[in-house]
Amino acid sequence: MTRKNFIKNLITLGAATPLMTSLFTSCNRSGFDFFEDFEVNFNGNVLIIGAGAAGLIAGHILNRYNIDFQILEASSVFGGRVKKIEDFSDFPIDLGAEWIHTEPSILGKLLNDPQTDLKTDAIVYNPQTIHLWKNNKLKKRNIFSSFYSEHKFKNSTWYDFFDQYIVPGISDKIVYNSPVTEIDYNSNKVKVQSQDGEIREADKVILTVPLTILQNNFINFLPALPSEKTEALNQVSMPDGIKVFIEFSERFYPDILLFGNIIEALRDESKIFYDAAFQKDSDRNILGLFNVGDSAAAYTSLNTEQEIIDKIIGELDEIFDGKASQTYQKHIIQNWSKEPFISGSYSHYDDYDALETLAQSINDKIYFAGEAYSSDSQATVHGAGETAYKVTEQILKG
Amino acid sequence: MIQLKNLFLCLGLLFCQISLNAQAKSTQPSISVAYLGQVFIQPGVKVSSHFNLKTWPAESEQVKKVKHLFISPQLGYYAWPGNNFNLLANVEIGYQRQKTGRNSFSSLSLGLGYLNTFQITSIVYDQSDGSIDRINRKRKAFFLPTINYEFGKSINNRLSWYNKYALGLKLSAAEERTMLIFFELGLRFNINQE
Ligand SMILES: Cc1cc2nc3c(=O)[nH]c(=O)nc-3n(C[C@H](O)[C@H](O)[C@H](O)COP(=O)(O)OP(=O)(O)OC[C@H]3O[C@@H](n4cnc5c(N)ncnc54)[C@H](O)[C@@H]3O)c2cc1C
Repeated sequence: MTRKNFIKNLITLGAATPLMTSLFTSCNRSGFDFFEDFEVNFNGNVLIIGAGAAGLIAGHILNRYNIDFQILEASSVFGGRVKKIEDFSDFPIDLGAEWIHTEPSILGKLLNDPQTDLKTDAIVYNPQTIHLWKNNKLKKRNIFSSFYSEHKFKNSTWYDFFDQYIVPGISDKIVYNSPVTEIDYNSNKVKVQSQDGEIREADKVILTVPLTILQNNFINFLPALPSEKTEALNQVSMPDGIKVFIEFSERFYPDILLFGNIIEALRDESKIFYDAAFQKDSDRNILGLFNVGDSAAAYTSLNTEQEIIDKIIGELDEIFDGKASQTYQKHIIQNWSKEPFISGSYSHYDDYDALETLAQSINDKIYFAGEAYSSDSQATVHGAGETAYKVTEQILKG
Repeated sequence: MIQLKNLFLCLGLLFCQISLNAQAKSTQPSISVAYLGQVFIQPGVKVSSHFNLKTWPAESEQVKKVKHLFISPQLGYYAWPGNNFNLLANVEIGYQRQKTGRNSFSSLSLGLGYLNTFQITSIVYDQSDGSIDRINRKRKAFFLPTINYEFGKSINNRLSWYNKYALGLKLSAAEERTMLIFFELGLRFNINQE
C-alpha cells in the first residue's frame, strides 16, 4: 500500500459512491479503453535500463511494434520491486508490490492485448477488524472499515502477471547481471557501459532504475545530468522499506494493526501489520509487516535477520500478551533497503514540480520511466507501467 | 453471544407485535421515503412507516407542543459500490416533540435492526476488455441496535421533510462489533390527514 493511495481511496470513495447509477449493481461492469495505437516514425534501436515493471512494460510495447531493443538488468532476476515467494505458504506471497491500487482491469490495459486469455481473480480488500496500538493500549477502530477498500490478487501475484504475460514475449531481450555504470550521450548515438566494461550503442535509452541509483551516482553521465535534474533529485526521497511475513500456529491478530494516531496512521500508512491471508482461502495464519518510510529504519538498519525477527516478535508480544512468541513458526524477510540495486522503498515527493523536472527527457535521447515519474499513480506498479507507455509513445511517434 | 442473540430476537418480535397493534389503532399513520447513507456516502434508500402509539396534546395556548410516542417499522437498502450491498429491516420506538406553531418536530428513538450484508469477496476480470466475468459474494447477517435523532418540518398538512442521524452497532457472533453511522434525508406523507 502507499500512503497517497490510502488517502486517495478515501477521497474517491467520498466523491464516487453517491453515484446512483451504481446503486443497484454494486459493481462497475464497464471495461477500459486500450492505449491507443499511433503512427510509428522511429526505426532506430532502444536500450532499456532496468527490468522492473516499467522496463518490462516498455519492452512489451517495443516488441509489439517490432522495434530493435534490449533490456539491461543489474541483478540476476526480472521484476525489481515486484517479487514473490511461492513456497512459504499455501498461497503465493508478494514480497514487494502486493495491492492493486486501482481498478484490477489495469492489468489488461497494461497488457493492451484484446486476444489475451488473462483472467484476474481480485480480492476486494476491505479489512473488517482495524486495531490501533496507541499509548500501550490496543484499541478497536473498526468503523474505518466503512472507508477503506482496494484490491489484491487472490491466487496470483504482481510477479505472476509479468512472469506469465509480459516476460515470455521478451525474455530473449533481457540481459541479466549487467549493471549500467556509464551513459555517454555526447554523440548522436548514446553509449551505455555496463560494469563488465561492455559498451552498447542505442538511438534512445529508457532509464527505469530506482531514484536511489541516480541519487547515489551509481551511473556516471557524460555530460553530467543537467543541474535542474540534480537539484530535483535532491528534493525527492526514497526512504527505507521492508516486508516481513510470519507464520503463526494461531491467529491472534486483527485484519490490520495500525500505530499511533489513527488519522496519521491512515494518512502516512508507513507501518502496518496485516493478515496476509485475508480472503485467500488459506488455512494458514500469515501475518505481514509492511513498513515504508523513516520508521522502517528501525528494522532495515539491523545487521542480521535474526535481530529483525526478534525485534518484531518482541513488539507483537507486547501488544498481544506474549502470543507471538508462543505461536511463532517461521518467517521470511524482504529488506528492500539492502537490495543492492533498489536501496529503498519508493519515491516520496514534497514538491511535485521536482517530479515534472525529473520526468523530462534529456536531448530527446534519454527518457525516464518508472514509479517515480508517474504524476498520478506514483509509487505503484501500474504507475510505473503507465510511464513506460508514455515514453515509448514519445519515442515511437518521433 | 447466544444469549444476546435470543434477547435481540425477543425484542424484535416484541417490536413487530407493537407495530402491528399500532398499525391497527393509529390515527395518524405516515409513510416516508428517504435517501439513506451509511457514513453519508454509501448511498441507499429507506422506506418507513410511522405510527403514533400515544399522543399528549398541547398543554396551553402559549406552549404549543404536542408529544408523541411512536413506532416506526422500516426497510432499507444501501450499497458501497464495488464492495457490498445491504438490506436492513428495522423497527424504531421513539419520542417525538412537535412544535405546532412552527410546524417543526424532532425526535429521539431507539431501533433494532436486522442487517444482511452481501459482501463481494472477489471479482474475476476478463483482461481482454476489462469486463467483469464473475462476482463472488458472501452473505453475512447482523443485529443492528441504533440510537437515532431526527428533526424536520411540515411543508403542509400532508407532507413534511426530515433529516435523521443514527449511530448503530453491527453485532454478530462471528465478527467483532463495528460502529455504523447513518444519515437520512426524506419526505414523510401523512396518510389520514385531511
Ligand atoms: C515494500 C514495498 C511495497 C510496495 N507495495 C506496493 C503495492 O502494494 N502496490 C503497488 O502498486 N506498488 C507497490 N510498491 C511499489 C512498486 O513495487 C513499485 O512502484 C514498482 O514496482 C516500481 O517499478 P519500477 O520499474 O519503477 O522500478 P523497479 O521495480 O525498482 O525496477 C528497476 C530495475 O532496475 C534495476 N537496476 C537498478 N540499477 C540498475 C543499473 N545500474 N543497471 C541496470 N539495471 C539496474 C533494478 O535491479 C530493478 O530491476 C511497493 C514497493 C515496496 C518497496
